[in-house]
Amino acid sequence: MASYSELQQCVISGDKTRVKELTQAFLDNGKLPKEILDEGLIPGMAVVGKKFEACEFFIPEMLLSARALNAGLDLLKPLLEASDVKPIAKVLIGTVQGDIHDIGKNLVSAMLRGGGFEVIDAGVGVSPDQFVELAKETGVDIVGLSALLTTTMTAMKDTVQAFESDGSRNKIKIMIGGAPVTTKYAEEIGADGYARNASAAVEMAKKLIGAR
Amino acid sequence: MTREENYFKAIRFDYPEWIPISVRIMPATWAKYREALEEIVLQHPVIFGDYEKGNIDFDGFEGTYREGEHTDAWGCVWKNVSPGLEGVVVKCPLTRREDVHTFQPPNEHTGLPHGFMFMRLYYLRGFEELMIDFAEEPPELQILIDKVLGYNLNELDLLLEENPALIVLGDDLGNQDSLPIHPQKWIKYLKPCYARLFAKCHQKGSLVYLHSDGHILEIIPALIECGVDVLNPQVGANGIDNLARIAKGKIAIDLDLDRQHFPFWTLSQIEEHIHEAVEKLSLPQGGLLLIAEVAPDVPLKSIAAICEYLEKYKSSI
Repeated sequence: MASYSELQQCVISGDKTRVKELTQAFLDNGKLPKEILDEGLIPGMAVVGKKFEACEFFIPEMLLSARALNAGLDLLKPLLEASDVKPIAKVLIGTVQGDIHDIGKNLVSAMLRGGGFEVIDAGVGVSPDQFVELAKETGVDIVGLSALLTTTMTAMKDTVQAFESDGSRNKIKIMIGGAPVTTKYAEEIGADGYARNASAAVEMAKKLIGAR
Repeated sequence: MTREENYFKAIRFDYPEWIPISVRIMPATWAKYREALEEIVLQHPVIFGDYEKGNIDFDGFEGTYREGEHTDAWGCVWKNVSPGLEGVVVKCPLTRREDVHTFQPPNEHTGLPHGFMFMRLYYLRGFEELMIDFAEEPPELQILIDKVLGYNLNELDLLLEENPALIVLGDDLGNQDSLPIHPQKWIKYLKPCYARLFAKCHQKGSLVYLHSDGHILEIIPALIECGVDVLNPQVGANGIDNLARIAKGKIAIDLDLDRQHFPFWTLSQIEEHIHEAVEKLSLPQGGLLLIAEVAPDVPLKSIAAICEYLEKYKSSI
């Protein structure tokens, strides 16, 4: 019988085929889906995040690991849902109004999924009202806002204000990121957190959920 | 000494009289401020040369700066929702790895536009698919690189027929705070491309100017080895002290002043920034140039201040 350590290593090395095989093998041996997730897949992805922060891994390695993790997650997800196991939290993520760049958003989404979050991708050019409506519809815990340009990052402020105006601001946490965005800007517009990259976004999301 | 003579003295470390300065005005910025911006431009011939009233069509957006969707010669579909700013590739023609084998670069000549090499790879494959290629290193990665490079070498031949003193190239190689790929993979796959392109320029007697957005510190030594003569890095993404440590005196730097802060800085912060750049990077023999790009969210008074402070500090060599 393989160990969870081996599954973690396969996530880290991005071995999609082996992750799928091992996940299936654990299921066949009666392991609980939540245990496979918590002991194998997520810890593996956590190491990937640390390696990314330490500049041992770059985006190619991180994405390869994320795809490997998804191979296992695809097997577990229906079982987790059937047994009513909840994700760590639900995150709605999108690029703000006027901005259609999606590379950063997609990387953050991949890492959040790898961190055990359920991610709902709102797409690009999402208006403040759309964010508010989607957050209500999906019952998310966190809203992630992305912007690449100084000309569009101001839409982050509008989005925060839209949640305020709607009266639903205190029901969700808002985190922001993107090339020109900073911690200071997050504070200025009343967001709850800023993450400088995809790996940091996972840590910030965990922190925000812990702070709820 | 003319502006051009001084410019080449600066990039050749041949004791320029002043630090060459320039301001790049985005088309959307012209469209927003129009005649008021033109007045500023006319007040600064040292920066804008012999610009004359009416030289610019305020609403004349071209190529990927136009609103809507268009497909370029490579089959990449661009979308622009902010006319006057650069568009985004939203449909890539080579999303399946196997398509690389039958892919042919365009028959038409498109020159070497911004994003000619590394960015073109992900315009064609899609960013995530290209990153997976760099992770898995299948043969198709090198095949695609060779095809794009081959096209670029031919285009460069055409450009060099005019015997330009300087070939200006742009390709965003960095993310905000890191390279997208490991520096060793950059050296393995991409350095040979730039080395061949730059060598061709030098063989014809042309100097090479390379713009790159993003954090590129780890590959600046490799770019120097490739033969780049003038590098145009973003100060914000690389850090002024880092650039001084790695590149000062070794290569001419056309410092891309911190456009990510221009919309928000006070006038005194703008002055402090320009002063610091000159203080930390200028040398009597040259090697420093300054460029400020202004987007439409930079207040008009800040644009005027940028021009004034550039002129003020250009003689602080």
